[in-house]
Amino acid sequence: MFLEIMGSPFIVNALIGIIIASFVSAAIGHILTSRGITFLSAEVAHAALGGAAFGVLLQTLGIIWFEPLYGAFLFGVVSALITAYAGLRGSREQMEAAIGVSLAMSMALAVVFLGYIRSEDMPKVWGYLVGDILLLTVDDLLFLGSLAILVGFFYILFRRELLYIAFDIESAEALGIKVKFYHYLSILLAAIGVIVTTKALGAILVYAFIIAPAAAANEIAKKTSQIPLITLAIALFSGMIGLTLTFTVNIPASGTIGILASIAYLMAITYSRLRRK
Amino acid sequence: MEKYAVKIEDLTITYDDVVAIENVNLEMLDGEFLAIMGPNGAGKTTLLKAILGLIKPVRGKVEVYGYNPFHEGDKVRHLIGYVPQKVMLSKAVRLTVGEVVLMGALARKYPPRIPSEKDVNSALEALKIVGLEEFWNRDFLELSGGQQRRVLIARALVSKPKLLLLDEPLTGVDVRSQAEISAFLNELNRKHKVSILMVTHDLNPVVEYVDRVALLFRKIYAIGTPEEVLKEDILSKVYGSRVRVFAYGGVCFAIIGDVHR
Ligand SMILES: Nc1ncnc2c1ncn2[C@@H]1O[C@H](COP(=O)(O)OP(=O)(O)O)[C@@H](O)[C@H]1O
Ligand SMILES: [Mg+2]
Repeated sequence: MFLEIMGSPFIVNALIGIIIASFVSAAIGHILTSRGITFLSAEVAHAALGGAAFGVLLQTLGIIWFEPLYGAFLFGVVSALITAYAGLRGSREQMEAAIGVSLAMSMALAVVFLGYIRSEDMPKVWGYLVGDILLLTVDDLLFLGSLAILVGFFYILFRRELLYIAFDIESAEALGIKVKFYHYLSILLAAIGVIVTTKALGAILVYAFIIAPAAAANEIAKKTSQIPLITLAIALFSGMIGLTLTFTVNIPASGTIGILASIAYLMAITYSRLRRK
Repeated sequence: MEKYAVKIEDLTITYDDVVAIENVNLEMLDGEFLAIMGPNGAGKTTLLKAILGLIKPVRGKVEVYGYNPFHEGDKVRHLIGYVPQKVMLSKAVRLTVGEVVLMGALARKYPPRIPSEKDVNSALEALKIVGLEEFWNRDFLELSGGQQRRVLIARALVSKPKLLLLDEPLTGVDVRSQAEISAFLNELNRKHKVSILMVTHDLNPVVEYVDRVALLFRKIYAIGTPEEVLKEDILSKVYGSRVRVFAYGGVCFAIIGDVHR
C-alpha cells in the first residue's frame, strides 16, 4: 500500500517539488535573513497569490493563455521591485515599512480579484494560498525547476557581493562594489524564489519554509559558509518527513512541513542557547 | 609622479537643500599626513565621500592623483583605502576577521571572487601590520571596538593603497587603542609612505604625528601645522568660546568643551 502510494506520479512530482523548494530556500533564506528583511518573503508570496487570482480572472474573461502562474510571477516580481526601490537609499526601517505596505496592498488586491472569481475556479487560487504540492504537473515542475536553477546560479556567482552589501552597504560601495545592482539583484532573486515556493507550498507557508530553516542554520552554523548547506538539510528534512506524515496521518502536506520547519528552528535556538552556557 | 594626492577646488556639496560643504579648496601632498578637524555635522564625512567619488559635487572639482573620482571611480578606488566611520554592522551577517580583511582584496576581482593564495597572503600581511594576525578565524563581531577598527584598517591596507582615508578611526575606541592606532598610522605614513587623510573631531591623539591640520565647518576655516591652527581665536570660530589650547612638551592640545555649536 505504502509503496504503491510512494510510486504514484503525483507523489514523485511532490517529492521533486520539495527538492526544488529546498534548494531555493537554501539560497534565498540566507539572503533574506542576512539583510534582515525576512518579511519580504511573506509580501511577495501574497502578491503572487493576488497575481494568481488575477490570472484566473483573466482566464474566465476569455484570455485563456494567461496562466495563473504568470500572474503570480508578474505580481510577485513587481511588488518586490517596488520594495527594493523604496529601500534603495533608505534605512532598513523604511524598507520594513515598504514591505508592510506592499503586503497589505497585495492582500487587498487578492481579496478584490477573488471577489470576481467563479466558485468553481476557486480551487485554482486556493492552491496558491495553502499549497498544492500533490497537484504539481510536469510542466509546473519544469517551470519551477528552471527558475530555481536560475536563482541558484546567480546566488552562487554573487554570494560574496550579497553578503558584503548585507554586512555594510557603505563600505561595499567604497570598495567599488556596484551596490545598486546587487541590491536589486538580491531582491529579484528572493522574489523569484518565493514565487517558486508559493506555487509549491502556498503563500501562508512560504515564511515557514524559507525563513525558518535559514534562521535555524544561522543559530547552528559555526561559519557563514556552512549556512546554505545546513539550511538545505533542514528544508529537505522537513519537506520529506512532512510529505511522508501526510500519507500516514492524512493532514495537508504544507501544514506538516510548516510545523516541522518551525520545530527545527525552535530546536536550533535551544541548542545554541545551551551551547553558549 | 603626481605631486598632489588630493586636489580640491571650490567644492560645494548639498543634500537636497542642506549645504554640507561650501567652496572648499584643499591641496594634500603625496606622502602627507593630513587631519581634518571639525565638530559633528561639519561635512567631514561628506568630504571623504566626495574624494571617493561616491557623491556628485554641485560645483567644483576633485582630483585624486590626477584622476576624477566621480568619472574614473575604478582607478581612484584602486589608489585609496577607506576606513568608514560607522560600520552599520548587521548582526545577521557573521564574518570571520579573515573574511572581512579579504573583502579588500576580493573587491578588486570579478565574481565569484574566489580568494587566491596571494589574496590570503596579502590579507594576512595586512592583519600583521595592525598586529592581529592571530585573529584570522575569530568572529569579527566578537572583537572589541578598537580591534574591529584595526581589522577595518587592515582591510583598507590589503590593496596597498597610496592614500588612506580614515573617518573618525579613534571614536568609540579606548584610550590605549587610540594611542596604538595613532602611532601605527604614523609608522604607516613614515615607513610605508602611505599618504593619510584622517577625519577627526578630536585631534589630540594624533597631534604630534600630523603634518598639517585643516579646520572644517562647512568651509575650511584654517589650514596649517598644528601650531598654526590650534589657537583659541581660530578654534573659537568653529567651536565657540569653550575652547582652551595648552602647550605640553612643545605640542599643542585643544580642549573643547562643547562640540555642538
Ligand atoms: N545622506 C544625507 N542626506 C541628507 N543630509 C545629510 C546626509 N549626510 C549628511 N547630511 C548632512 O550634511 C551635513 C554634513 O554631514 P557629515 O558630512 O556627515 O558631517 P560630519 O561627518 O562632519 O559629522 C550635516 O548637516 C548632515 O546632517
Ligand atoms: Mg562623519
